[in-house]
Amino acid sequence: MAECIEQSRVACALGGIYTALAIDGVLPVTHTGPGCLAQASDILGRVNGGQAPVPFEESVVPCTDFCNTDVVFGGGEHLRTVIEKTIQYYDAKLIIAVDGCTAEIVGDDIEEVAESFEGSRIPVISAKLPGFVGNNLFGHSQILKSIVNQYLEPTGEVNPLQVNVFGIVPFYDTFWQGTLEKLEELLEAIGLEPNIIYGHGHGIENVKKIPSAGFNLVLSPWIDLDIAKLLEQKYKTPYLQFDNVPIGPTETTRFIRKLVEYAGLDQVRAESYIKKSEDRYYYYISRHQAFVYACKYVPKDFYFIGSAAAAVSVTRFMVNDVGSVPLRIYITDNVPKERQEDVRKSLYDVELEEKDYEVIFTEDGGLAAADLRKEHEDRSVVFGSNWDLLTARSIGSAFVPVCAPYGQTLIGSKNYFGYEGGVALFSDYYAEIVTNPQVAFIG
Amino acid sequence: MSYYIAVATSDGEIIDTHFGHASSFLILEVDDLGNYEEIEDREVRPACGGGECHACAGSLMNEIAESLKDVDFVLCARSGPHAEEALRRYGIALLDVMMPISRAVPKIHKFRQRYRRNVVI
Repeated sequence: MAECIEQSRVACALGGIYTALAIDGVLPVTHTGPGCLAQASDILGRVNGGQAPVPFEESVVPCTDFCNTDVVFGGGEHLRTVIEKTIQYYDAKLIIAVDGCTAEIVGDDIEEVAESFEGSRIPVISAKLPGFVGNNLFGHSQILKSIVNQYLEPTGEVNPLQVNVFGIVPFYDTFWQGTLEKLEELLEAIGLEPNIIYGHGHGIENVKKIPSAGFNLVLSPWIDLDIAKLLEQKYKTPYLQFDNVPIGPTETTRFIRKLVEYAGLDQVRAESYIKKSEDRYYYYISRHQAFVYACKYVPKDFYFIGSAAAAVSVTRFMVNDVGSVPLRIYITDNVPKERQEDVRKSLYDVELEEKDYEVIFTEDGGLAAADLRKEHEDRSVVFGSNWDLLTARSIGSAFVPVCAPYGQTLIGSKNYFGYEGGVALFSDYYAEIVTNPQVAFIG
Repeated sequence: MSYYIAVATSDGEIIDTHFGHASSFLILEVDDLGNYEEIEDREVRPACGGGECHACAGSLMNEIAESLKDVDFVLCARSGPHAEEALRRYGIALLDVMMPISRAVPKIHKFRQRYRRNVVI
């Protein structure tokens, strides 16, 4: 049995329902105990920048309240009743019946229950989310796999310019909503037709369009590669992987050029977009330059504790654009062993001569924090989640939150994507350095 | 080894009585093969006597639990958290289920055989 962990930065597999809730009109029906839903919201919802899914908030998600009686007598019929009532009362476009640990242990057949609703007013599919198998990233993958396998139908036509966007896990990537909006703008600007399924202005119609894409774009070191491969196998859609959500000019420009080359887009148009955006980025940075030079003390290194996706994004920006050096990077989202090498490679793929920093994979955030408290450089910077705020304070470091759980604040449409995101992270970083008394005003 | 199930029933066939309304529980003895027989009709003071609620915070719930301490499962149509809590102290599982006794007992027996070693509910 695995050891227990402290300061979890991931939810259990049931956190996968947030992926469903991020798609407009998709409603999960949970076949779980009454408290199961609440635990994921502590990482992904309210405490993660005050976010709640729209239109179905967590508190309206139908649940069977799986109890002792269901364990002994089987909960299949119970689930069937709840789905029947859900179809009657909810204005959803797709229902995903999901189960948790207990239902999986006693072996309730939710697939059979979901199939029995064939032809109903709202289509019903099923996804198994047992927490003993994996965390919310596993749940995310299960939900997407269910949609691809049970809901999608071939559209019969391929639009070579349409690109599906994967790799950004809604809610788990705290900035997902703002990032997707900005990403959509960028892809449109260089001549593609982005098809994004999550968030505002998107929804089930975008899900239906998935099979007709020219290619799939995966913006992560490893998440959603399985979905891209599944789509390649089912619909022969090729995929392009870019190993992070680009922040800042270096990475965003690289991202655009890679896309243009891969999709055979108009190079002149893309280059003029790059030129315009980079000029704008450096204009904003120049405005702050005098201020930065006047800082009494500017840390030259940083620590990172958090998800693999955010680690790659932040490390690339901090090294390539800001000129800071990572000291230790803790990856806390249980990257599968066979993928760890890819993540490691991405994290060392930066413009730095001496890459003598460590990358540590641990699910135990408490262990990472203890390690940091024991051995650290003074007056540095910690990037991480809200868990790391106090750790950073206790070791006299500045702190910039970049991943879930983001903290009890309102996230709005904030994001660190692209050129503009670079400016945002640059200003957040220096604002923290000059206002944090532990770092700023001594010596 | 045989074990006991207590059932809140009005006619001896269907589980149809609320836990708090039951003035007696039918005690069934189930053997290793799942065969069962009625051995006793055990009388108790109803926890919610005559619609007047005086037991939830008091000792009556415990008194019922005490008198049922030799059984493993109690089946009734409906029950509340106080009843469940009182019974849990004696290691008794309280299950709300409305169905014929003849259908419920085999399910419990099957469950008990599968999970006897692993699960305490």
